[in-house]
Amino acid sequence: MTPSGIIATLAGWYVAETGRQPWVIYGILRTVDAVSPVPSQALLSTLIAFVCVYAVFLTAFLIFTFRIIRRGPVEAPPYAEASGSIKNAFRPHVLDSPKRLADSQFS
Amino acid sequence: MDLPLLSASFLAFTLTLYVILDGFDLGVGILLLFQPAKVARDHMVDSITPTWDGNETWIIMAGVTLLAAFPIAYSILLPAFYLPVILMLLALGFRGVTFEFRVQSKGHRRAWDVAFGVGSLVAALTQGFILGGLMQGVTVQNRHFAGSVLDIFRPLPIISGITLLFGYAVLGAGWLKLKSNVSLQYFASRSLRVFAPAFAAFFGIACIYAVRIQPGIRAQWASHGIALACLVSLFAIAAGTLTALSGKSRPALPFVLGLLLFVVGISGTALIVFPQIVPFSVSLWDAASSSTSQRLVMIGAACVTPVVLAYSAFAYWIFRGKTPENGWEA
Repeated sequence: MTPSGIIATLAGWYVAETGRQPWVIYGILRTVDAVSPVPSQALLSTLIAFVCVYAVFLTAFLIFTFRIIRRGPVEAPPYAEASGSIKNAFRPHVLDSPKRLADSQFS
Repeated sequence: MDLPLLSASFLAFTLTLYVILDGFDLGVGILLLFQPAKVARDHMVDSITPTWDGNETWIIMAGVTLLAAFPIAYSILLPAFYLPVILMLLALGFRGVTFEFRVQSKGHRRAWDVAFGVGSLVAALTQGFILGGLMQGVTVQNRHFAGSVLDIFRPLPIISGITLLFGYAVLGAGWLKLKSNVSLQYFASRSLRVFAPAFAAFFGIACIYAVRIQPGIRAQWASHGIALACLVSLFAIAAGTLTALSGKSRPALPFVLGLLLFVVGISGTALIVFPQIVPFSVSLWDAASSSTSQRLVMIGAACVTPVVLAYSAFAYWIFRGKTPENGWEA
């Protein structure tokens, strides 16, 4: 069932886009009149480039995601996380200096 | 009130911030290609991690302002620069994911760093191509783009692309000198010694070539000769100082001089383009949208810009000083 939400969203979008044709803005601007003066070869080559680049992104994303899932949850770090207080945020390298690091372990 | 002029000033403001802010982090990305040591590369990326995506906010602001306030210019310039714009987006996308992927990668860190560097390099080149394409003039008929998408691959855009590449490398090296430890400062100084004179030389070549091929630029030189000559001399002095002092200056000086070079360059460009928005055919008043749209854009900008400036300043303030040796999270 996991991908059903994604499929529903995309399907709804497809219906809206195709159902609106031949208008790009319903009743105001026709798709034919909205087309930019870029030749179709240029559009095709950039479309191919987009598909290729995003295929690389997706592959890497899936590899890294499955690796992280397989590794399981990471143990909490031995020091305190930077707190959300603005006072701490204004100090540079809160966690960098050894003294602060030691302090933070007690707090 | 002259709304198109106000919108155009806001557009110039967002573009300037984009160029100098994303300029230095793209520059650090370009320099990554010349850094063989893995530890040093990690340190270089750490120096820009907290602020790089905030820096890219400004190009979105510029794009939205161009679309909403100058729709005619948008409809001419985007088709004219279709190929470099799409290439730039792909390159910026590549670079954006690499920030995360390079950390996750086990055995291929070097490959992801090359992707990071090439993404930065292509983004810099394509932005220079767009600038060069503006300077050589855009072919317009009846307020429509009437040239070819391949017009961009002529000598001036190519020279301009290389110039901006070197310029961003100068900004990046200045940033590294400001933010990093001693060994990277040495690397930054060496980079400055190469890229500062190269940037100045290519900038000079681009200026001379642009004046030769574009009568519109000659006309602007005739009317703003003194101002443009002052800017060129200021550029030459700053570039000379940067080259001469690259080894032994205070850590902040190269970055400040790099910023100065860019502010001077951008001022000169604005002086040449103004009052056109599509050089050298459509003025910003002819390309402007209705005054209702203009007002809406300016009200939106007046609300959003202070917030963006404030959170950007806050981010720079929190991560001020030298980048920690082991990164921000260690």
